[in-house]
Amino acid sequence: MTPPPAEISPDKDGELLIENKRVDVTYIRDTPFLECLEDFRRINICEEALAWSEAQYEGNKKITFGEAVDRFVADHDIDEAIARGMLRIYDGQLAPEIRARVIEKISDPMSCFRLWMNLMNLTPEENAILKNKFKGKLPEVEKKLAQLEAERAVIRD
Amino acid sequence: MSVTSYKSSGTQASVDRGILKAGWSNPSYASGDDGSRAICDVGKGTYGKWLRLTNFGFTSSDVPSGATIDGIEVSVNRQSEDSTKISDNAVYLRNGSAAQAGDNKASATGWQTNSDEDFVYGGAEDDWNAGLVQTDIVDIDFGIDISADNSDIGATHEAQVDDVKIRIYYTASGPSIPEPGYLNSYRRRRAT
Repeated sequence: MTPPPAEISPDKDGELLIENKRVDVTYIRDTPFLECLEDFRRINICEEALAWSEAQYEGNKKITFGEAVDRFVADHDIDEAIARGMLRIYDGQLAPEIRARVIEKISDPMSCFRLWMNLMNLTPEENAILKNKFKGKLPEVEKKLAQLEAERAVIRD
Repeated sequence: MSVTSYKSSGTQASVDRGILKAGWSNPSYASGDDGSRAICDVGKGTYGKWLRLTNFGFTSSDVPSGATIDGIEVSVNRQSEDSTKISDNAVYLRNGSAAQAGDNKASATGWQTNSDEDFVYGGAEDDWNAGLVQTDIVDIDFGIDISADNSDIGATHEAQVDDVKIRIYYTASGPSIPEPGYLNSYRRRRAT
C-alpha cells in the first residue's frame, strides 16, 4: 500500500512529555486543579503555561480544572499555543467538555490542521469543529488532502 | 505572457504576530543566496513571528503600466533543524497598501533538514487570488510574509531562510495602433 505523503504524516514529537505524564487519570471539570498542576510540574511544560497555572492556583487553592480552563479561554493575554500543547499531551485524558473549551481557544488554521491530523481521540463533533477552522484557509494543504483521499479511494476500490 | 527575472527583497523585518512568538534574528540575511540565513527558533508546538520581505524593486520596465498580472512565483531558499518538525504556518503576499492579500499558501511539507532547498509557491497562472495589479507590484510595500510552524511540543527548533525571490508573469496591454499617416493628412486637409 502507498504510504501517506510525508507532508501529511502524523507528528512524532513531545515523546518525553507524553511518556512522563500521569496516565491513570481523566481530567474532568471538577478535578482539583492542583492535580493537573502537579503533573504540569512533573513533565516540565513550557514556562509560560506553568507560570500561568501557578498563578491561578495561588489565587484560589480550591480552583477546579474546569474553572481554570474557563479562565484560560477568556484570557486574551495567554498564548493559544498552550491549548494546542495541552490537547497534544493529554488528548483522550481530557473529558469532552474540557476538550471542547480548549478547542475554542484555538483559531490559527495550521494549528487546527495539526491537531486534526494528530489527535487520536477526536469525537465526530470535534473532528468537524477542527476541520471547519482550517477549511478554506489552507488551500495548498487541502489540495494535498484531496489527493490523498482520491488515492485512498482507488486503493479501496 | 511575459515573465520578469527573479528579484530579491530590499527590505526585511521580523514582525510581531500574537503573544510571545519567537522572532527572526538577522532578517536582512533572507536576501541574497549567499549562505547567511535569517533564523527563527520557533517555540514548542507553536509558530513564529512574520519574516516580512518587501521592496522587491520591480519597476515599469519590468512590468509595464497597465499589464495584467497572470501569476506570481515565490521561491524560498530555506532549511530547518528538523524537517519532521518545522513547516509553514502561514505564507501571504503583501500588496501595495501594505496589507496581506489573497490565499495563505502555507504547505504542510517539512522544511528540508540542514541543507538548503528552493521551495516554490505559486506560478505562471497562479495569482494567489490576491487581486494584484501592476501598481501593487511596483510598490515598495509589495512582498511576502512567512511564518514557520514547529509541531514539536517538547522542544524549540530552528527555521532558516537564506533568500526569497519573486518573479511576475504578466500580459502587457495591447499597443495603441497609430492611424495610417494618410488618414491624418486627410483630416488636416478637411479641417482647413
